[in-house]
Amino acid sequence: MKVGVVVFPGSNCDRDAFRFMSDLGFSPKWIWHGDEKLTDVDIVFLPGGFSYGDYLRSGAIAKFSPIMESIKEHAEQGHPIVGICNGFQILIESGLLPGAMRTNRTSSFICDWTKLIKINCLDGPWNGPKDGEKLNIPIAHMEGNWYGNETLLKKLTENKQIIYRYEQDVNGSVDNIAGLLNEKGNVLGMMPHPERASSALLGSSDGVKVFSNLLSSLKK
Amino acid sequence: MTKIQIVVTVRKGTLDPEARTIRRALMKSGADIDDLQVGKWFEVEFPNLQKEEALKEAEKIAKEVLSNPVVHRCIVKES
Repeated sequence: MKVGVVVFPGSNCDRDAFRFMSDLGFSPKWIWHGDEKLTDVDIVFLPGGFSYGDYLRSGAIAKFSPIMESIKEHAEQGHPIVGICNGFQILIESGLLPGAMRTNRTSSFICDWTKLIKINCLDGPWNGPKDGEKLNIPIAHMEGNWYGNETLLKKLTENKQIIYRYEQDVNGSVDNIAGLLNEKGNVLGMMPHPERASSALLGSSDGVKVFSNLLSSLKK
Repeated sequence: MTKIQIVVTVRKGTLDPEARTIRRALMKSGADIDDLQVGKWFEVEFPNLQKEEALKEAEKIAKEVLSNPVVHRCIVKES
């Protein structure tokens, strides 16, 4: 299965993502943000970083990258897409995931381990870990304080689009939301970095679980 | 040519840690401040639009690109 890791100017977790997906048995390949079309890719991976220097708002300029139109089509066709950290922010700015990201409540960059709880969510490629399972996965961000009003939150809860919550409030995020799915369940955005929790040597291998249903869901 | 100013700021009632921090610092230095808003300021020149059209176009880019309406409000006016 081929994973396209998209490189924007300012991406800095792209190599981690590439290595991680390769270790999981996928065949990663680079996708340049300036390309017009995704070719020969099953899964799209939008890595973390500071695309376009976080100018305007995190992810706000990346949505105009030529490759994004093709990524939107990929999402509409129901193929899996994952955005981590800045990748999540890009998915929100592109309208592929709902809500908005605000500056962390503490006004500071938070780089720390967090405990996530897997929520009973839409079935699909990202429904890997068991419901209620706790995962140790680190975060590293300044704008990860997700916001949605009550109506949106109710809708996301009813549609089972909330996939991960922080066990405790870490950045002010509404309902402690750490990860969201789109309405179909094929697009995942999360602030924590599973690719940084790929081996016990690094402190945790729980990041692997995030991707544990991906292969089998694609073979169906 | 018409010049339009656009200010994008966090909606009232939405947490803005930057504004809160600045307000606290100002209060510490003796200023008495109830509320403080922080925003981004843009000035856009439209070479071929009259005032009404330029304002309309500015409203559009303010809502679609310069802000995220979920958390921001925009102030658009002629320079």
